[in-house]
Amino acid sequence: MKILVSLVLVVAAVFLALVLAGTGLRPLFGVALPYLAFATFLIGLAWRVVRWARSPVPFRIPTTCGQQKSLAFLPHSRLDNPFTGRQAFGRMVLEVLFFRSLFRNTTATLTRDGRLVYGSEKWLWAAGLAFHWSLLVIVLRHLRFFLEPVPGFVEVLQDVDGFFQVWVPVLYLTDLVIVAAMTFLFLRRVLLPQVRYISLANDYFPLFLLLGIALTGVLMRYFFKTDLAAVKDVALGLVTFRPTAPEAAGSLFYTHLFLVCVLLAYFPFSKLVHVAGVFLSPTRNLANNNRAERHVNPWNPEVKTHSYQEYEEEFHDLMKNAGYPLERE
Amino acid sequence: MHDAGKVVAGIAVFAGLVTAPIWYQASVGGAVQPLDLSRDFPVVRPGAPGFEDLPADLALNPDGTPRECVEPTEFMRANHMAILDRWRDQVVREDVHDYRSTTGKTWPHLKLTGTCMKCHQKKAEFCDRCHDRAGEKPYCWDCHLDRVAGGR
Repeated sequence: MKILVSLVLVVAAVFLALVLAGTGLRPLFGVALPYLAFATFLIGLAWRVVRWARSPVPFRIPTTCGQQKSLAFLPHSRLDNPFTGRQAFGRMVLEVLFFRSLFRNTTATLTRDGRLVYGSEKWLWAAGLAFHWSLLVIVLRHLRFFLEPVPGFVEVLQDVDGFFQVWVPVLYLTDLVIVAAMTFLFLRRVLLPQVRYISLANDYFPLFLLLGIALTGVLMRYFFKTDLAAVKDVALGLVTFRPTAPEAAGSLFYTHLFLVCVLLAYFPFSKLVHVAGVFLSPTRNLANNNRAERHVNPWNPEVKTHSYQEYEEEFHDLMKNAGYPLERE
Repeated sequence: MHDAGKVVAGIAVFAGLVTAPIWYQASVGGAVQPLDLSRDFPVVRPGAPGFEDLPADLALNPDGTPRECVEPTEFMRANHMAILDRWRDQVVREDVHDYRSTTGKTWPHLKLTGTCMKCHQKKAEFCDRCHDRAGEKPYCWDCHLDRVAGGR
């Protein structure tokens, strides 16, 4: 049901754009919606981050995955149990670029004779990494539409991505990888009963949306060609604030663009904010130095204390007369 | 807000990255005009050597403007690379040299340098303008000559 609702929503968005991009509403899809969606994306994301940052994190609560800094003869695991800010930074770099904590993913299975066995489970990590890196390369490749002149690194990226020179225009490996990875991630969600049980519409919808974006892009590049000069006019017009929406760019292009707009507008209100959230995860970005430094909770209430020293001072004479042993003297 | 310095710096870096094209166009990028594809349309010189063996319909009007291309302009803009790719496979693997266009016409014996570039003579002014702008680097010219006799 959740799958069906998500699928219907994405397919409806596709048909809406396919039909309306051919009418007088084209400027809506080529000009107004991209600006609105981008503003929503940027402001929404900043708002989410600020809201997170308003929560104090009084203690260091990193998840520790190795030996903490201790006596000199115990080897300290710097990346898995960082002690300084620099070590925590190193841990974050590996987390953001290579999803190190997902690499540690394990799976629990029951053997036929009823024993519980834990095993390594790398498929989610591999498909996730393939998807995210492909997405990054694809986004960077799209800079060729937004930048004039096209910078050298974008051309290098295109050359490497199209290394095998299959077909004209050249087949990009990332196009293959991203569709394959997303298909795997979808099938994993549907076919594993435990994963399907915890999956929400909020999980299926972005998956279908991204798949829709990738597939409309693939269709446009390899099958139903479009006028790239017109596409570049649209993209350049958006970033130079002289937007146009030429008909020559084609309905499929405006559909692709509309799906991207939906993604951008949906981004700050969905699980996709993990792009910012990973940087603000206290279990990842803090150094484990609780034993070396004192971290005071900023909202601790003022507590009235009366130490033994003060007590002894107050009742000094009485205690002395009664013959109690005193610390002072 | 806690760690306000780091958080604001992070948001600023992110905003700077995603709006980078705007700053790039405002500073490095030149003045951007939509590509006027009708400008500098190659003027064909009828006297160019080898011009006479073109298919008759591709020949020129008396004023030097081309009479007809193998496909309509809009179709060519989007699909020329697919046509060239298909031609290559047909010629090299199937020994088929004729092209059947979407307009229903059959054009005999088409070639890239020998046919297309008879009219669109200057690669730098015809092919490269769009390709450079879109960041495309087709490898046609790894093998094909980028000029015909008399053209550049």
